[in-house]
Amino acid sequence: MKSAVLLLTLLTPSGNDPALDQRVLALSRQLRCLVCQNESLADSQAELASDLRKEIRQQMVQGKNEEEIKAFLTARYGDFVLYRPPLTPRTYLLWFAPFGVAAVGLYAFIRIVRTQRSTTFSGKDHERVETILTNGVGTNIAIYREQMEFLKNEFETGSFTREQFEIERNELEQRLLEECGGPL
Amino acid sequence: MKFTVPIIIFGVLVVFLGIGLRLDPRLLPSPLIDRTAPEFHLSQLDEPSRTFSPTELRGQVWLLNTWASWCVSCRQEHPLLLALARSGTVPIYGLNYKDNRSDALQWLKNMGNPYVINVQDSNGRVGMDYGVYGVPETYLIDKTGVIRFKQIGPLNVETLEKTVMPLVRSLNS
Amino acid sequence: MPDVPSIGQLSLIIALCVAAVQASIPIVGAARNRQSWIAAAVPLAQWQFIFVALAFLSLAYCFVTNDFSVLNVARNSNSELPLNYRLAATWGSHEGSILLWVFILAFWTAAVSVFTRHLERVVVARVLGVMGFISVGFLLFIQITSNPFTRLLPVPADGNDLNSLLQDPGMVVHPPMLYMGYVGFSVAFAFAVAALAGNRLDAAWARWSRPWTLAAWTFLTCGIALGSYWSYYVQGWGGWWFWDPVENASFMPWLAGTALIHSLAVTEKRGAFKAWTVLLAIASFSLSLLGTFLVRSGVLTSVHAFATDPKRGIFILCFLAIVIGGSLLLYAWRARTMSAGASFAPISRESLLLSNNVLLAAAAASVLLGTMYPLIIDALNLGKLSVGPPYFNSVFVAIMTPAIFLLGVGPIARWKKAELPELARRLRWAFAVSVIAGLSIPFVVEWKPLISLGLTLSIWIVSTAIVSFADKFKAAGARSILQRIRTVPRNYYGMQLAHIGVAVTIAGITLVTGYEVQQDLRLNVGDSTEIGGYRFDFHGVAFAGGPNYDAIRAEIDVFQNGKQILRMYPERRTYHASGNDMKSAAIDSGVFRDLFVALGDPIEGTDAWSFRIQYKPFVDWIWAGALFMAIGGALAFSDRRYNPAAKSIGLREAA
Repeated sequence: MKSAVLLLTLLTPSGNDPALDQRVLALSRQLRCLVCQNESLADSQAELASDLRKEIRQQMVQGKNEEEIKAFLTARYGDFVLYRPPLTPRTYLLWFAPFGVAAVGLYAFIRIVRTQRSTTFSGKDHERVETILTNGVGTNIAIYREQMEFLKNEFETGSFTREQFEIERNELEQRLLEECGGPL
Repeated sequence: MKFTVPIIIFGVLVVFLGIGLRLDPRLLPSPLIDRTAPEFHLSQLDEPSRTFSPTELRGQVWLLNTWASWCVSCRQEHPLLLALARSGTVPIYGLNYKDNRSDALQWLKNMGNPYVINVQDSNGRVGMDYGVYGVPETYLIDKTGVIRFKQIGPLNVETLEKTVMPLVRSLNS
Repeated sequence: MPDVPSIGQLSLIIALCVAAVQASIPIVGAARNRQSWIAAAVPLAQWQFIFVALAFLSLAYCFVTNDFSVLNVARNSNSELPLNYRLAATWGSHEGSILLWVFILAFWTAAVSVFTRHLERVVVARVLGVMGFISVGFLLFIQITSNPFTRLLPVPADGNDLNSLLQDPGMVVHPPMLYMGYVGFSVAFAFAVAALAGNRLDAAWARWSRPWTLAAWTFLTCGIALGSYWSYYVQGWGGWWFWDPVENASFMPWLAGTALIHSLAVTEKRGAFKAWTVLLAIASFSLSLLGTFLVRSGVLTSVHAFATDPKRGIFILCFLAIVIGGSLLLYAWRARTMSAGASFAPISRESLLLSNNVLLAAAAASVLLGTMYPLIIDALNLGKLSVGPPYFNSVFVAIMTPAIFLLGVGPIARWKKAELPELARRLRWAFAVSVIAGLSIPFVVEWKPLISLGLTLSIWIVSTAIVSFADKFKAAGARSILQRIRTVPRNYYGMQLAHIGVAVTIAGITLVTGYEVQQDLRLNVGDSTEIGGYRFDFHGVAFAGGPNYDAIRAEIDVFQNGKQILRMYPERRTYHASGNDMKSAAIDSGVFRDLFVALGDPIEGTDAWSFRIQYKPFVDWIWAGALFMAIGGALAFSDRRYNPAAKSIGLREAA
């Protein structure tokens, strides 16, 4: 068995240096197979991919580092061969936009939180709400009825203080009036 | 105002998608345009004891065409190459890419030989230097040895007449 | 025997006519308050479904009975193809899969017509009208550019066979499941557009679009997971996600859909975020449509792309522009007048959900940008560029990390106003456990920062879920634990299970990416190699075969600690009809690891073969997590409150 393995390592370039294999693999994963529809050099079965993997391996054995090998390939095939787009003026948008979007999102978030209007609900509308809840038909009313029930429940089991309950109830009733207000 | 942002972004997206329908994402322009053609010394197909190198052609405008006997699309452009060779406007030199010598010679015998000289790139190393990723590919090289144009895929009449020949004429003058 | 393809074609034309009526009459009726026109929506939707179903079944029948007079059957099937794959070949081509799209759309439409009896007729009319409009687009597309019933004369003796990569159980389930999700978002879309059109963004809209959205999301989760798993075992190189444009085309709607279901939760409970929820509903389905375009237009290169035709691309693009453009215009017009809903503090469950949504949307936008960027650069004449996994992985992980952190805090926070000190106090143990475990566990094998991060996030989700459960079940009052468990609504369990699913998936991804081992090597008969603590012995190859292929099969014995634990048979298959060559990898799945052996090319002049052998720890957790997410989604949409017949709702028939 040992002699067979030894013979194997003499005959074949791959398989005798797992660390080198891993490095070739790691770099090939970042590079594009040019004849395939969309596969990396590591995964592609195409002949050109195989040739390029061999080339990468040879250059690594010669002591070239990743940057030099990438430069070798881009000089011949262009930036297209890199799956990680290099940071150049034409890719600024690509690399910075995601964080720009997140920043815009943060701004939008802050604005939404800040520009909230408070309840302008008056106590005398409580009666109107009660009428609507008791007599109204339709899906919306049913949903508000259910939500009111839930609120009362939460208050009774102690999840809300009276103050919280009042605020919640006012807001719920305001929404109800907006959506199912009916004739004044 | 902020509610119109989505439709504006979408509009821009549609414009790009529309343009995209006219482009071919698989076409890869060469980074070697306007750079000196990479040097090589390869043995000739007809006479393996002799070599050929692109520097021998300094002072001439010429075409380098990569091909192989196993390449199906090469057959498509071959009649065009033959006609071009016959017209004598620009000499065509061939790079026989990752091929078997006897297969290549046989192919030329069957299909005709438009090439002034053919060289053998059996391991594809020179092709790699030229950024070849799919034969046939054709390079137009000027008098100073600089690549001026690259055709990816088979040459067609339109490209020949609209792009290649005017370029040849202007480079020759 | 009637000519089945003709029945199919006729059905499609009738379906197109019915859909055209469905798309117009009820909507006009809703605008003019014509009751009979409004009421027509339901029967129209159901008749459309019947005719589309008839067409779909006709095509399936042609495949099953090997009717090679149909061009589509001749191109994609073969008499030797086993029955299940002949059936799957129905959707194995562009034309067939578009018909599947339309069939599933008609199915969702019919489902909406049946399960919305408790909603106002006007609302249902608009929803069905919008869905009808989408059906018209696709049915027209079929007639003009992609008719599966085109005939072929003279009739060939046999067909070209289904692409060998598709001859797999994955092909039978993945597309239908994926489309159920993809297309299912059209319901949420239709609800949103209908609500915008009628200016009725009310509680009913929020409540009743939610179960449909959850159902679509559940299917899409399954569809994407199936696609990933299928890719893993069929591709022969053990990859399970490549950020390929087609994969992204399904992932973007998923991200938007996830944001949508969370946004709907807030809108349902508190009436807040209406504009944002509507926009997400439009966006999710728009991304589905965009995905359909990207995959079939040839605009982007992809391993999965269908054969392209510029006419198809133009049609879909125009359709996209009308549907999405129209809905976004409607949005821009109506959004200003939406009511604001209940207020909430800067730190509250609402704000946490909102920030999560923002992050999910940013993630979706980034994936879109990365996918489209090569096209943008090319269109601007700036050359050719590739954007691949290195980009997507970096950006996606960076954006999602804070989102995952917030995922743990959200369920614990109160509605309306949460106290930061209280939150910190309740979560401090969970935080400590996650950080300590996340930092220390990788040392067992090899410490890498990203593995630490992934494990920390994963454990964080689980420990915060435990905190949430503990709070929920703390007996308030005299009720026993068992009673508390029973009264907690089902969708709470759904939520927690789905979140835990996310944790499991993250753990799987982290561990397999960090610790997998791969070797590409040549083995001669009798050789062996060691990977991941296992020894693989190559014993030689033999001939094998299947119903429509011949194969060369290698025999590999696997040893652990000196004892043989299994025998693996990777194959190289050659299909008779197409001559296609395909690798069939041998995979041994386990809870804690997969062993993956793929047979490569023979080495000329020797008895040796090349192999790719991989040790993939915890890779199955990726899909197990997705399964949990899907079950969670199913639990959520089957919650009692979405059952209109439930007494607790107390609905009476709407006017």
